[in-house]
Amino acid sequence: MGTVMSVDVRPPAPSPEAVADALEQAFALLAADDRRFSTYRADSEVSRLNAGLGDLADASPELREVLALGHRLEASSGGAFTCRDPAGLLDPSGVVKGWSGQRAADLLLGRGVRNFCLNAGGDVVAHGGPEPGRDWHVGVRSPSDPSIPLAVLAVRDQAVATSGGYERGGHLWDGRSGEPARGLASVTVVAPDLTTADMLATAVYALGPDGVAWAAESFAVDVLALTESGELLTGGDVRSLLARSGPRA
Amino acid sequence: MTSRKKQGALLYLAIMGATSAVVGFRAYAAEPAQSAASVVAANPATTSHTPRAAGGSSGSSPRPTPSHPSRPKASAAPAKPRTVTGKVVQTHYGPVQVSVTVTGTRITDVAALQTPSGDGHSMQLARRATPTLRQEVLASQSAQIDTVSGATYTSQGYAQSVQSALDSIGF
Repeated sequence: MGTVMSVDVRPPAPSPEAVADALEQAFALLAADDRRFSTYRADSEVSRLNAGLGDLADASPELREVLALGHRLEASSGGAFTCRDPAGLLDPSGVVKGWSGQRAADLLLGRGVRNFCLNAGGDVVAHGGPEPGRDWHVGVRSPSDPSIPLAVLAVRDQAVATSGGYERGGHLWDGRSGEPARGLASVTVVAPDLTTADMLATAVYALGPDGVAWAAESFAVDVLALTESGELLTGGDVRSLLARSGPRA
Repeated sequence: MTSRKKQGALLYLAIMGATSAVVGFRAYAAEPAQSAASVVAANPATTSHTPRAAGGSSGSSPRPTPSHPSRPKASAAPAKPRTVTGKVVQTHYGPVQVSVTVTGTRITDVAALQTPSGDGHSMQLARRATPTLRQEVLASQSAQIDTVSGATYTSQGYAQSVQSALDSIGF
């Protein structure tokens, strides 16, 4: 997957030792998922299946869960979202990145960490707040200028995922045509969990502008998208998520 | 602005490159005067072992695992800071390079020497969003930011440059 994960933990939190232990476990989970699913690792379960070593019927419970999620969204997106690359090889990275980040977040929650912001390769899970009375402020990367965010969203107990043409990975094509996705420069989805947010960001990017309203209406999520021609599209209630600038109230 | 520092906020920052094995897990305090602590896991490709956090038992680490109190003692004799420069890492947006200052077994500063400058194109926003919403989106751009969604390339380049700097001094 080739991602970088950071976790920002704020008080009140368990003891520093307990937090460090939870973080260690969370990183171990991410690393284990990468070993299992990476298409860049020749010895991953996915790569071995693609090499004809092994049978999908004998796949691990984790891979079966990921593929089931992918197949469900493939069906509801009319095939725009897919877990196979244009060559027909298995590539579940459109599911795994968010799913794995959410697993890490769930582990932290299970260890009593309540105020944290986890960022796995640009996919964010934000719980609680950075300080009393404030939500986590998530800048949405602008596809044209990394120095200025497209928008800043204030979120709490939510996940934010962004897909854009700048993104690494081979899952940003339209599964219906097998061609690179067109029409949108970036898509940001805010959802209760990162699995949903990341998968839908990928699906909307693949679907193009029509996907914005589709995701918002079908999955009750909030969507902020920028078209290739510079139009801003929104679905759901993005307005209520926009951070207020200036000094804290 | 600095209120969260004054509150003695406990800050853990951990960075990991999932492309390769975790080989180090460092803990350091951001400033001696506060109880902040950060944990950095770094990622060169050679070996794998269970990362150890501050105060953890020493394990199979191939390098010495520094032991750091989460509340560093102000009376500790200051070690001489060393600043090393990381390699230039090419990202989608341009080169990223950092310098890292290490004092004793603590990272005391990371400075960006090169970051992508952007292409200077201002955004042309929204014909379909209402003018009011467009204004609110633009207004939100100047809000304080805790993290960035969609940051894959630059953050990865940053982590790689930090790691290369640490590798160069065997930290």
